[in-house]
Amino acid sequence: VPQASEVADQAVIPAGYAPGAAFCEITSPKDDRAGDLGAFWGRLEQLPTRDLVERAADALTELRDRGVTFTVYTEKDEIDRALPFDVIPRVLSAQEWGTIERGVQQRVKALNLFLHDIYHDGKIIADGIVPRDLIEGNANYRPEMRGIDLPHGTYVHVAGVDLIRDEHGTLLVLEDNARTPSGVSYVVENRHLMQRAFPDLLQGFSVRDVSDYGQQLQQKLAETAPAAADDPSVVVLTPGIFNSAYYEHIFLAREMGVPLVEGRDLIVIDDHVFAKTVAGLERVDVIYRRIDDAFLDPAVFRADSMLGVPGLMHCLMKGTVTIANAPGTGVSDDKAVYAYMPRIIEYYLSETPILANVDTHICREPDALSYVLDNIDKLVVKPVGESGGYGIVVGPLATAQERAECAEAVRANPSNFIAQPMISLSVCPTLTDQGIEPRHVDLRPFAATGKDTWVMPGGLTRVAMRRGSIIVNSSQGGGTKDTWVLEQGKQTQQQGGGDAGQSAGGGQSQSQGATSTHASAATSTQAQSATTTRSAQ
Amino acid sequence: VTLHLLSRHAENYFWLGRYVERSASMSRLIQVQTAFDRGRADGTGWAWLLTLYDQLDDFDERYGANGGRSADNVIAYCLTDQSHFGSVASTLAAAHLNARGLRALISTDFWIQINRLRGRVRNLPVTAVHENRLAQTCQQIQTDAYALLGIAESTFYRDSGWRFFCLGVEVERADQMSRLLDVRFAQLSSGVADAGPRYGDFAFWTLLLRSCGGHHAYRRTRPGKIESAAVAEFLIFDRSFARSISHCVEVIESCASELRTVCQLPTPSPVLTRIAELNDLLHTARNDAALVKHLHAFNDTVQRQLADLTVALSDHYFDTTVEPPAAPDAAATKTASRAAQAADTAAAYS
Repeated sequence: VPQASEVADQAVIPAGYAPGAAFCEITSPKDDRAGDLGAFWGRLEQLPTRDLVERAADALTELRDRGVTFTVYTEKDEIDRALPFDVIPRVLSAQEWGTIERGVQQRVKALNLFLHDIYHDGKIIADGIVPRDLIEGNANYRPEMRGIDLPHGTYVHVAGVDLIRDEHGTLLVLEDNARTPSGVSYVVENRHLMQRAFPDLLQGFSVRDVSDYGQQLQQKLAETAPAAADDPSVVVLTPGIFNSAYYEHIFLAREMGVPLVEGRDLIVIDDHVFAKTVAGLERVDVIYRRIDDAFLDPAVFRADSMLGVPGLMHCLMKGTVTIANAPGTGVSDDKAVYAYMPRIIEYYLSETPILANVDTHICREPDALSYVLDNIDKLVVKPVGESGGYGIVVGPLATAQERAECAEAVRANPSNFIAQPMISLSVCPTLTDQGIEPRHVDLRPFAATGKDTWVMPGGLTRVAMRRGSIIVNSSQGGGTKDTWVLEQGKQTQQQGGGDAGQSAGGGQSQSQGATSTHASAATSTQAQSATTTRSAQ
Repeated sequence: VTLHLLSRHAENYFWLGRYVERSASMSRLIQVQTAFDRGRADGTGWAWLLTLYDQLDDFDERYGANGGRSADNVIAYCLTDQSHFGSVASTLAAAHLNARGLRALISTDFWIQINRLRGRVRNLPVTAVHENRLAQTCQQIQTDAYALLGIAESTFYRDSGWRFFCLGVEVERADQMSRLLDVRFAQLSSGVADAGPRYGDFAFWTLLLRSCGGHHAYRRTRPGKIESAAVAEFLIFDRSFARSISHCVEVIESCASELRTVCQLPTPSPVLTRIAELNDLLHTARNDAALVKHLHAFNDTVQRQLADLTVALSDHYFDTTVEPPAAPDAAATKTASRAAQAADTAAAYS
């Protein structure tokens, strides 16, 4: 959070606000978002920067007091740190959201069909769509899951699909997270924070609610309980109170109204899972686990795991318990499999992907290989087996020698590589030490799946707090923003409420849309003279 | 279907109650000592705090070569020393750890308060523990710890967890009272009269009463009479005084009974037996005309029985073959060894 004195006297929209070539989530024009965004920009205009800075500081204090933190470890002890929160929301129109929602539902459906197939008949392999070694040679493939039937065929109960937007404003899938995607607690907490700290910013906008996530998730998880459980018990399994995502585990348990257990709280007796309670042992039907596959069951996976429950996998095989997400989903959100997702969607659903992938060249295919080798200076080359950015070569930034070495490695073992063009992330106005500046953002919508898939309206907008950076990861200084999904045609833009003078909406700007920073500034000035204006929609 | 309270969470509730109460109690002792034990020769007026938990040896080991039992050292040891498990800072850290385990169950208000308090005590500036500021600092910690109990009372859901929390508070409160009585009456009989109030004089009893927040209640109910037997009677038996041992045992008994009647949990016989023993002990002591002379044996027995009650609760409700609680309760071990030594004299009360 910047010092109030440094930026307080700046205009809220500095004349120099320049998203450059990047698509701006608030100011760039696009057919499916005309109107709403301009109105929001107008609203923002009228909030003095000083006010914004001061309230941002209060918001951060509140987060820390409420313990909305992730844990950072130092040599001496653990420190709970509040995730940087940026007070300027990211706004999505109803139409944009519709695309995202359908796209995510389609993707999750395909992922589940794919997982069921590869752990049963493997038709997609037999039909030559996805190479066998890519699946069965994958470190996250769990042979233990072969032949196990899961209720509703649901493997990925909770998915987080990372989306970015290219310079034309087109939404693209960057990554599927089908293991234990995190961050959903921030979505809800960020909204609560905005409602408390910036009621005037929200005034007159109809933003879709995100607070029922727990209820929706509980319902979806209960749908996947073993058939024998007619009134299923659900628990959240955490690695413990020192886990960096512990706050989120608390959030999930509390919002669902279910116990937050550790491995040591559970015990397997006669092929059933029980919780140790003050009234004795009680049956557990569904476990939303927030620990990795490897730690789930020391009898099957890592024997040294203190976090899991011996015998758990056996219960899964016997069908007496549901584990969400199912073990072995990691094979589907792997970089190598990602490249095949458009074909996987077409194979199972006979549909075109609603959300496109980032253009990905699969080097094991001859045409792609020759393209990659010819254009290595323009591409980002990624080894498929690695995670966490390890071994990635960014062509345009690499030296000639690095590029040559990379080409050599690709030639030697093409199957091990994919390549993508340099990815451009969209930007969003963000409060920084230098005032309001464009910063790169991505979006992670969350989907809960039982019999079918529900997508939380909104999602986690992560923002790279450093100028020019595209690293939005929280461990690397990334922050978050509230994400507004506007309801179709319900923005009333009434004047008044609270510090009314500052919160008058830019009603007229709705019909005109925001064509540029200056245009939206102009429309909001007009709106200031309007009294009660209604949406033109 | 809803599951019952996890055993681990029941244990967290119990120790949360104990540690919050203990931090309130310790900060009150220091606060009273610094606020009311003034105007006398300084130097040795603080060392008695170390005898509450038999910590003289441990203290001398840490500070012996570095200024010994000076006021500053004793205060640091009891208040801020994070390497000493019994300091207020460590006690609050242990409370915080238990609260963290319960985060999904306790109120956000409670969590905010304990976060702030623990953070403040962990980062106390040197100036805050300087002699001139010490009374205010301890007063603030004490008030904040009381506020924690108040927030718990106002916001905790009244399930079995609440009862385990209350059991922790009351067991700790009775234990603290017993220790304070024991140490103060031991000073009385030892005849050491170096500094601080002269043992047995008006200021001595007043200080003791203030140390457990009972000064005004005592004055009001027993005007004009301040002597050892009356003070002991008040602190042990006055059922209207929230820190009297009798009152604590009464609440312990009703919590245990509510576990059965309200929460529908089985109450195991060892727990009931321990509570019956405490009641018997109090009954016998009530009829002992020479209680003041037997006070040490009485207190040893109280502390041992409270430790036994803790074990009984743990065996039945908490023990799920898990690791011991967050911070080791060395005090309970000490109590057990002390009780063993005093077994003979205590026979009359067990």
